[in-house]
Amino acid sequence: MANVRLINIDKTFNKNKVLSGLNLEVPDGSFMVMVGPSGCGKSTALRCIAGLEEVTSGTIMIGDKDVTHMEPKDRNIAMVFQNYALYPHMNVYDNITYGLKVRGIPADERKRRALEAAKLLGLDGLLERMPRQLSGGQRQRVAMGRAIVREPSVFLFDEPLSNLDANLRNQMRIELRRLHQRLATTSIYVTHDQVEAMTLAEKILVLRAGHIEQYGTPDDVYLRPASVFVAQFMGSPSMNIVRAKAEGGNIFLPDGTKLSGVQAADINISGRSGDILLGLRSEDLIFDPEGDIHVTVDIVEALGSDTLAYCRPLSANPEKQESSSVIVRLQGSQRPASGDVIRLTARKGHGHVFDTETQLRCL
Amino acid sequence: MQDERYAFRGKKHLLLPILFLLPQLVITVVFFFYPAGEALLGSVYMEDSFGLSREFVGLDNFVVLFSDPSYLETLYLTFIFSIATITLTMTVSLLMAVVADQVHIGGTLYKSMLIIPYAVAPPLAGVLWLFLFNPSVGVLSSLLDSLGYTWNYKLNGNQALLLLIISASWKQISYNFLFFLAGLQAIPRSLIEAAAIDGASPWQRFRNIIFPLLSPTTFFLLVVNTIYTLFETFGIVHAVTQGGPSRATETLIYKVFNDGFIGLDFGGSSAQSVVLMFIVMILTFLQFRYVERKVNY
Ligand SMILES: Nc1ncnc2c1ncn2[C@@H]1O[C@H](COP(=O)(O)OP(=O)(O)OP(=O)(O)O)[C@@H](O)[C@H]1O
Ligand SMILES: [Mg+2]
Repeated sequence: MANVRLINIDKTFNKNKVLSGLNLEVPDGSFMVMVGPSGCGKSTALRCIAGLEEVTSGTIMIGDKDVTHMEPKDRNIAMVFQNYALYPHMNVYDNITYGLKVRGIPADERKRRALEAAKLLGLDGLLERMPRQLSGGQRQRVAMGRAIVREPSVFLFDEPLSNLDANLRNQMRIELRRLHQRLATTSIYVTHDQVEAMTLAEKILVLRAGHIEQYGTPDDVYLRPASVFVAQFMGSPSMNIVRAKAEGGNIFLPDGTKLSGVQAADINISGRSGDILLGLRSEDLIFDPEGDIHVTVDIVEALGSDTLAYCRPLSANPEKQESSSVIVRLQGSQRPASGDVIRLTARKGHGHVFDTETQLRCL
Repeated sequence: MQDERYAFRGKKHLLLPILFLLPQLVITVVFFFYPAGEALLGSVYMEDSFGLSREFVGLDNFVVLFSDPSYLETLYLTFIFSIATITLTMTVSLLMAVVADQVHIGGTLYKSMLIIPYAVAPPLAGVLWLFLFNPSVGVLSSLLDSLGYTWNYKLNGNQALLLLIISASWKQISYNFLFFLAGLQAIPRSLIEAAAIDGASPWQRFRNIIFPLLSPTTFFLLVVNTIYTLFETFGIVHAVTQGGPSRATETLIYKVFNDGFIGLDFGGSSAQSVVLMFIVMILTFLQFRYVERKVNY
């Protein structure tokens, strides 16, 4: 059990800066999920913590030990790789216990721990099998087993579920949560999957081009995104961002429409006036015959439980028409046709306001 | 696999596969079956010294062969030579491949240079080592001399054998190196990293992960090297020692040549080559049967 602290971590690959000035603390026993676009440095950050890459500068602390220059084996961490990295010539039992064996743990203790892990992960009948005789989900479990028998103080996961099909992924995600509740080992988890991030995380780290864009609870990240980038990265479909004006406590669309639902006072920018970026999630635009926003439906995607309508904002003056489309989440039963004009209101208190220059959230 | 072959099932489709195989078949028949057949035939005949007539003698040639103590010595010598050469070749090349796999800067140059010896013909490789170790003009032998060690492989049979083992290995190391390097590079990095995190030391990683995963390559090289030491080293022996001094380096293949083409005992020489052929067949069979079973993971 230990917390993990990164202090001013920089990582450069032949002059190419991949991580810059990373500062963060993962509290003891918590589950931290790292997200960000491809190539932003998630795996690199994880590998630095594991000791598979040497950091260019900065300090990594696990518990109260400075591990910056320690070998991976001395950091008391375990890692689950995306391709599982099972030893193909060893059976499941040997795969799970290899780490114990090389650390000189006696055979009966190894056996006890392996059986315990196997039971926890439902691998009971598979201990004699070779990795090639296992399904993807079973391999994943063996990789987990190999990590947990070591009883490390930190788990590192690099997209561990991304090679599984959607059903299995859901199932494994739930198992991961159960496992974490039981073991309460500090975990750092890299994923591309929004649902994994939102459901597993106690803290989410949004990484962008090697720096921290936001670090907070899932609610922080979803409900109070720190920037346009985070707002659009988290949530599916991504948040609608439209240009708007704040004036005298009211918010106006570019065509002059005054928004009745969202008022500057709701979102804490009463003092502000001038150009802003207004962020509205698709579910915060409500279908309303009396609504003040007029939009033309362009494309309709019926997802069953709900319907996504991609709309072009309509204004009295076609010249001023916004080019970017707006996505609206309607109930599954509502199926407007392409070309329909529908009216919407913004849900009270659910707008996000960002600065046009810095793209950062205005508090 | 079964399904892929399906396209070639049935008599109608027999022509095309035969055409594809023809070049290989012709080569095999002309350069392998024909000479092997001649040797088999020759081994049951006794020829007069002028090659004018021959007489069927059954297995007499073989009886003579195995009751000749000098042939048994040759067998033993070849055994030592092969084991030593294979061991030296594979150890050194594996070591170099492991090291080369870690090299990041200038790796390509390093690897290309290590491959050059393979392009050298066996007799030339022999000549190269001959010059290095020549008792009167060799650089290394004069070095040894100055260290107080008398080096003269022309008089000392053990030194001659050692020189052969070194030259034969030197020639074959490149080839082994290439395959070991390719084998090493095919091992996913994440496996090694997983082992490092698990707590394995570099040696344990090599011993428990890398070496077992290399075993298909090792096995293949073992077969290739066996055949190399038994047959292809002829050129080196011929260039360096001609089997001397006093037959101390006369390996099986060299004895076949010596007795057949110098001693003009074609029957005996044919019988020897048949024995050699059987030795290789048996070794290869044993290797496939017992070793390969273990390398399948
Ligand atoms: N060994 C390396 N040498 C040079 N550049 C590297 C190396 N490893 C990663 N990079 C670069 O560092 C950047 C970050 O890579 P990283 O693998 O951390 O991305 P990631 O966030 O994990 O992406 P993904 O989501 O696609 O896995 C990339 O631009 C990549 O090209
Ligand atoms: Mg990655």
